[in-house]
This record gives sequence, structure tokens and C-alpha cells, in this order.
Amino acid sequence: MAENDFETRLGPLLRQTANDIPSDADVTPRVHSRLYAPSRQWLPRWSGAAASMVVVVALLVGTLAFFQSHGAAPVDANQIVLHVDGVDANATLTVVRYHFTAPASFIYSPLDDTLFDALGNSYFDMSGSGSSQGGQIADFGPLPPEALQGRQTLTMTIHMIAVMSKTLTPEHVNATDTVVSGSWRVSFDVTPVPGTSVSLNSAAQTHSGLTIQALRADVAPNSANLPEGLRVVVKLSGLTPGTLPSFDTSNNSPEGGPTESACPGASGGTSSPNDGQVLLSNGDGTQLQPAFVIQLTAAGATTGLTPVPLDGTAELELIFCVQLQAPVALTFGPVPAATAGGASHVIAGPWVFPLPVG
Amino acid sequence: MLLHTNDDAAAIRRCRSGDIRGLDALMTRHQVQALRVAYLLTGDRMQAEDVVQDSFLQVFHTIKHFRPDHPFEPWLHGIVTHVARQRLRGTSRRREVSLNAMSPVGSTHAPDALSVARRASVEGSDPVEAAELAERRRALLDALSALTQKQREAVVLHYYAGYSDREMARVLGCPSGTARQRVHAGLGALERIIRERYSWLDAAARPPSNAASAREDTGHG
Repeated sequence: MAENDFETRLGPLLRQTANDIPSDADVTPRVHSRLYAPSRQWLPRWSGAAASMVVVVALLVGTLAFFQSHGAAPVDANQIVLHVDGVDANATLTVVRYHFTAPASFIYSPLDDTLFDALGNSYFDMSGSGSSQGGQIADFGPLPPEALQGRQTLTMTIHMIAVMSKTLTPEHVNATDTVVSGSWRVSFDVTPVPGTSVSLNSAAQTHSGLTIQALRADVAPNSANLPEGLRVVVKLSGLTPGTLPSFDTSNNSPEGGPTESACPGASGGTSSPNDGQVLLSNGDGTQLQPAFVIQLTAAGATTGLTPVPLDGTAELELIFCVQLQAPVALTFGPVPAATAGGASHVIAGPWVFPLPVG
Repeated sequence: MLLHTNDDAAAIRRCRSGDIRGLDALMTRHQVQALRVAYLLTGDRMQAEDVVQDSFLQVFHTIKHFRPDHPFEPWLHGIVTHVARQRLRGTSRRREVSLNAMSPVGSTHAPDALSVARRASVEGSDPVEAAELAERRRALLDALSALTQKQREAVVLHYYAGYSDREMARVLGCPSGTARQRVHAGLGALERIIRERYSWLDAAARPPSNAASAREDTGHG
């Protein structure tokens, strides 16, 4: 049979087979039951191997709200206590494991958490995972290289916690009634895994008015609780003010390589037709999109959704969790570029930066 | 292909605020397609339900990192693909020690033709037609399971979910050229497998007259 004929028939064959799943199939009850009796089965693989952990009870500052549920006893914010179970940091991630203690008939999930260092710099929560009762894992952006060289004091703050009853049915859960506001703040010490930092002397490269320069590469070695990886800091200039300097991210699953090397919590990835492309070429032949793209701004780290300021520049951290093998190179392009008038065009590039790592 | 709607945006906003009804709305709109993608990826209804259940839990816990200017469905399908991949790895490891020796070749949890025929008979539909349909489905799932995981993902996402090379690249986290390559390799491999093992299956997808003669030629059934 000719391949084109087969290709034509394959779609209908697949649809016919897929229709074995009826159109009224419903996993909602199963998802509800898991949400109301959560487990920790999809925590990152290294989460169970906690090293020496400092347990700190959070300082609850103020009592700002009560939780009222339908027919259930109210939960006072004072009853919810935040505990940090452990923290790990390297050049790619800062991982905080924590849990709440509170009235047992509810389950708790933070709606916002922010990490600060002793200098007041903030770190974006790139990914959260875990169950709302058994423990939480927050994956924050990495500390700067100088902070990786010694013990650091960090502070995590949470201002909103979603509270769900374990006994009420989902129909009784009301969005406005399930958020407890307060100010939970906990400080703790961490000794990061020191890596190597390489200043890159590569010249800035320009295509069609868009300039990219690779500034620094920070290598995170493999450690007990964190995977090895790479952070590359790049500066873009010539961007249109007001646009978003966003790039495709992925689950960081290497081509032909084990998925287990993906960064914690980076599954799924994000992309949009307006995103630029950047790939890390590893010496073993794999090519990876970054697991996370973090925009460094004066206000702290963001996810890349901060509009480009008037000077048209943006500084980004690209995070890869990968076992590096020389030669390693970073390639940008194509990159969509928007004009102030809203019209867009694509700059093919490429911008190629060999990286002396691996 | 439904990618993103205003309703999705509202549901995502609710989900981000911790409102489980936002997740419910997303499940209502997307779970059947997600289940069908997972079914084709795993070849097993029970596994597909497990995959989609875990995928929506992951959606709920990570929705605050979903970029609202992006389409929801490819993001969901990326999670489904990732979860299915993880689950299949676990399954294959378990099968190495026990199930291979116990299960018929290519066995899946798709309903077998006999039970489907019996059910059809009870329900009043044509039992022969129902059994043939079940057999075709089972054969295709077996053929898909003979592909590599990456090929299977590419074939399902392209020929079933209708993703372009670029969309697949985003869902799978690989370059567009690689996605295209996997589709091409997967298509070729699937065609060979079906031609060698299930030639009647492809014939069945042809116009009725051709299908009947091909079925007689192979002596199947």
C-alpha cells in the first residue's frame, strides 16, 4: 500500500479507535477524591532523600481573616502554622520543602509564596508540587553565584492559603470562602551546593537590530537532593519596549535521554506563537529548550512576563537541568520581534554562543 | 482543534485562585479528548484514566505557572504525554518480571471482540459489526504499542490530535525538525507493522468493496 494512502486512512483509524472512550467518560470523581485525600506520588524523585533539615516554625504575623465554610467550623489564620522541613540550593534551583499544621479536617495549599534573601532580593516560585496536606515543595529561582559560596539566610513569605474541607463535597466549596489571608513568614539557613561560574567573553551578536550577549554560565554539579544543570545569563537589547521577552520552555526532557533528568516541576512547558526559540546543544547530541526562563528586573526575578522597559533591554536567566557534556552551545532563533505599532516580524538569527562548560 | 477559549480563560482564573470549580470546568471541556489521547498513547483504558487523573491534578497544582496568553489544550496534552511516558516506563519495568509471560502478545485492556459482541447483542446492536470494530481497535492499539514511545507520541499528536510540527515541538519539548522526523519514522514503522501483522486492518479502512476483498485475501476472521 502506498504511504500516502495509508497516511490518509490513519487519521480515521485513530479516531475510530479513540472513540472507544465514550464521549461521556468522566474522571472528575477520581480527581476530586485525590484532591480531597491527596498523596505525594508525583513529588520529584529526590524529595524523599532529605538531607539534614532545619525545622523552623513560622512566625505568624497578624490575623487577618477567618475562613467560613458551609456548615464547617471556621478556621482562624492563627491555627495555621507553617513549618519548613528542608531547603536545597544550587545554580539552577532553590527548593524549599514545607508543610502546614492546622485543624485536621482541612487541607491547605498556598496560593502565593515568595522567597527573599538577606539583601531583600526576591526569587520567583517557578513551580510548586506535592499534596496540600502531606507537604509542599516550592521550586524557586536560583541564588546568584556569589550567594552559592556560603551559608545564606533566606525568608519565605505566604499571604494566601487555599483551604479545602476534607469532609465537604466539592459542590460545597466556595472560592471566596476557601482562601485564608494572613502573613506567614519563616526564615531559615541553607548551605548551597557550590558550583562553578564562568564569565563569558563572547561578543554580542546582532541580527536585524536585535542584540544578544551571553554573560555568564553557572554550572550546578550533581548533589544528593538536586539534579545537575546549568544557568546561563544573557542580555538582550534592541527589544521593543512594552513587549514580552518570552521564549519557549519545555519539560526539559532531553532528546533520547531519560525524562528523570527534567527539572523539578517543569513538566508541560509553555509556548506561544509569539515566543522566541532558544536551544542548548549538548555534546551528547541532545538539544534542550530551557526548563525555565527567568527575567531579572530591578523588582526581582519574574517569569519573563514583565514588559521590556524603555531602554529596550532584558536580562534573562535560562535554566537547564542536564548532565553537561562538551561541546555545549546556546543557539537563539528564530525570535519574533514586534514593532511599537504592533506589527511583528521574525528575526531568524541565529545567535550562537559556544559555552566552555561540560 | 479547540485550543483556547474565553471559557478556558475564566476557568483558569478560578483555578489559579484555588477554586476547584475552575478545574471542574477545564475537565468538563478537555477530559474526553485528553482521555482519548492517553488511550492511544497507553493502549489501555484504565491506564488512560490514571494518566488523565494525574494530569488534571498536576494542572491544578501548577496552574499558577501556566501562562494565560497561551493555549490551554497543548499545555494539557504536554502534561498528559509526560505522565503517560512516566507511567509506561513503570509498566514496562513491571512487565519484565511477570506480565510478559502471562499475557498474550500485544494484550491490552481494550475490550475484546467476544465481550463486545456479547454486549452488543444485549444492547440490540449488530454484534458482528461491534466485534469487528473492537478487533480493529485492538489491532491498531497493538500496532501502536510496537512503535517506540517517541514515535507513538508523534503519530498520535499529529494524526489524531491534529498538531502541526511546530505545535508538536512545543508539546514534546523538542525542535520542529525532530518532531517531523518522529512523525515520518512513526508513520513508516506503523505502516510496516500493520502490513505485516494486520493487513486486514488497513483494508478495513478502505472503501467497503476493497475492504471485503482484502479481508478474504488474508483469510482473517
